[in-house]
Amino acid sequence: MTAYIFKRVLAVIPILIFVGIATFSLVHIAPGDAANIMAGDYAGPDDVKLIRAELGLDKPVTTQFWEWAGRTLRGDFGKSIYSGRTVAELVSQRLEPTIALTIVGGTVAVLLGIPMGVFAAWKAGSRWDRGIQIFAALGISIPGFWLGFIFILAFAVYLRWFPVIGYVSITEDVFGWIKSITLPVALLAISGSSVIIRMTRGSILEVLREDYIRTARAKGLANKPVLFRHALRAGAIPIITVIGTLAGALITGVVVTETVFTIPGLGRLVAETVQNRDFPVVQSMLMLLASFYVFINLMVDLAYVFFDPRVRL
Amino acid sequence: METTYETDVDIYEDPPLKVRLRKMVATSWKTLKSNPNLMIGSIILTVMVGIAILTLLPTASTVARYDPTELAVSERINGPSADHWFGTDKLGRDVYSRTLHGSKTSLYVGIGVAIIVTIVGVTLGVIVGYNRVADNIVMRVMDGMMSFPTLILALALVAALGSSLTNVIIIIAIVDTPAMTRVVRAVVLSLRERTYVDAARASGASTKRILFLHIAPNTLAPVIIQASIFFGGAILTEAALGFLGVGTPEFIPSWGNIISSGREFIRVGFWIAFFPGAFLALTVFAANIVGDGLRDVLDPRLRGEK
Repeated sequence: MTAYIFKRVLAVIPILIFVGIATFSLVHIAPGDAANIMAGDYAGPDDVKLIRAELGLDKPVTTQFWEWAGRTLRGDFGKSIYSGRTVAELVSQRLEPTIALTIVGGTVAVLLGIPMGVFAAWKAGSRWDRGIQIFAALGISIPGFWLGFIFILAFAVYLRWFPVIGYVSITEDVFGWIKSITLPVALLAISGSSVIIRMTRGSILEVLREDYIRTARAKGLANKPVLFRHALRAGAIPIITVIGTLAGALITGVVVTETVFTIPGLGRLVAETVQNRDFPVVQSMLMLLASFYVFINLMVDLAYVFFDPRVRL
Repeated sequence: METTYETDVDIYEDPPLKVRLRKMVATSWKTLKSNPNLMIGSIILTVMVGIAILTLLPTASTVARYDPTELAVSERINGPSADHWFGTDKLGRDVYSRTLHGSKTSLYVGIGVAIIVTIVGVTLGVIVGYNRVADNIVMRVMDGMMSFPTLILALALVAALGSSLTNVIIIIAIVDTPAMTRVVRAVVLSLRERTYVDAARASGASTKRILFLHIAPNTLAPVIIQASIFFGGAILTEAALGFLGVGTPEFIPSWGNIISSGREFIRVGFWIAFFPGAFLALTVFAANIVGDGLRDVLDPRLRGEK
């Protein structure tokens, strides 16, 4: 078991190195000159030279890489070309709304998705199963930014139940905070739970087809113990994988959701800095979000160890 | 040398491709009739492809009624009417016409990405499924690429490469390739242990021949399922990039950038974003239920089970 955990943790290192190299290369795969792109159309040659020196683009590539890697490892992510503020400053300012949205949205998605997925598999082929599957299919198909637009139109513009845009900090006004995150959370929960429903339904269906379920039924066990004691216990393992997928869906969802509701979070920061081609911030965000995603998936793999005795061997 | 194994076709487990294809078409048609997902999805997609083709041809002015780029500043942000079915946008352009013309962009992206991902993914997947050295190198790179959340990777590539329509297609294809490669690799790994591969090798077939003549065609079913999912996903990603303001440039109408331009007019002109969004949702929904339907039809493990 220790050997497995050790091996799995070590496997993260080459992935993070790849992420680092890919992130670093971003500036260098830009056609033409990254400094030119960032300076914009109205910049003179002096501005471009200044940006180039600022980014260290006038040094040899290998020197640039080692300098960049050293700074990143020390936690120095550089500063925005556009606003001149450090990435650490920008991120810490924008952290709260994103954390609030992902935690609340992710929790609601899990609480809705897993029971609905299990129920759909249990009642496979029934009307309930049909309905839940249609909900899930719509949930992954309907673009979040369009559904969010309709939410705002219906609940904020016409019914006036919620603010149209913006975010209220939880430390400022708890009731206002709840109001400001309700619609974005609903949006994240719908798409998140749809992904979970499909994965949960699939893995429980697979389990229900196993021989030991048939044995349990054959020996006259009632429906409930078959589902809860036999199927759910074995089905729990693949369902854990859902958390990794959910993390990916939430990161993507947050970028879109924060843009729809004009919430000043990390997702909005990513979209804005890509628009401005603010490379130092784009690179840092890519590095941070990928590391976070890798970390979540590592946790999921390690959780297997505790749930699945087969991995422990 | 080249001809020695041409005649021993009858030792294969499976009948020739032509017979299998004909059988597949027949079963597909039968399933299409019994599978409402596939039926409804195919009908919606056919209509969308029809619209896209009609706006490509000289028939565009009849079908779309207006030029999608024609400005009429005096008529800006007018609600849906007999003249302008979906209303007009901030520059007085006809939203109905822009929505119809936007279908071209979306389908262009969806089909382009599906084709590129299929070609690259199948080639890589077949090679790495058969060669351990290539497997180690290529799959480590793919693992690395999959450690980025997809939209974030796409956004970062847009920042680096810029956002022309071609770049958007290439970027989405790059982001989707690892998943396709993984699927094909998994199928190849199980196929290479089959008796007909041993038989082909025993009769002297080269590795290249075994790979591309005996193994690649049998990855068809999972590849088609994946391709239909990537088709819908690519349309959604293109629209999301457009919505975030970094996708297909504004002079090419695309559902994403029309929705983006309508966002600020939510109070006074909801129709600008509403109608293209409805078309987008419908198309992606159709692509996804076609994917689900195809899985029912093509995946033998699930065939016959309801």
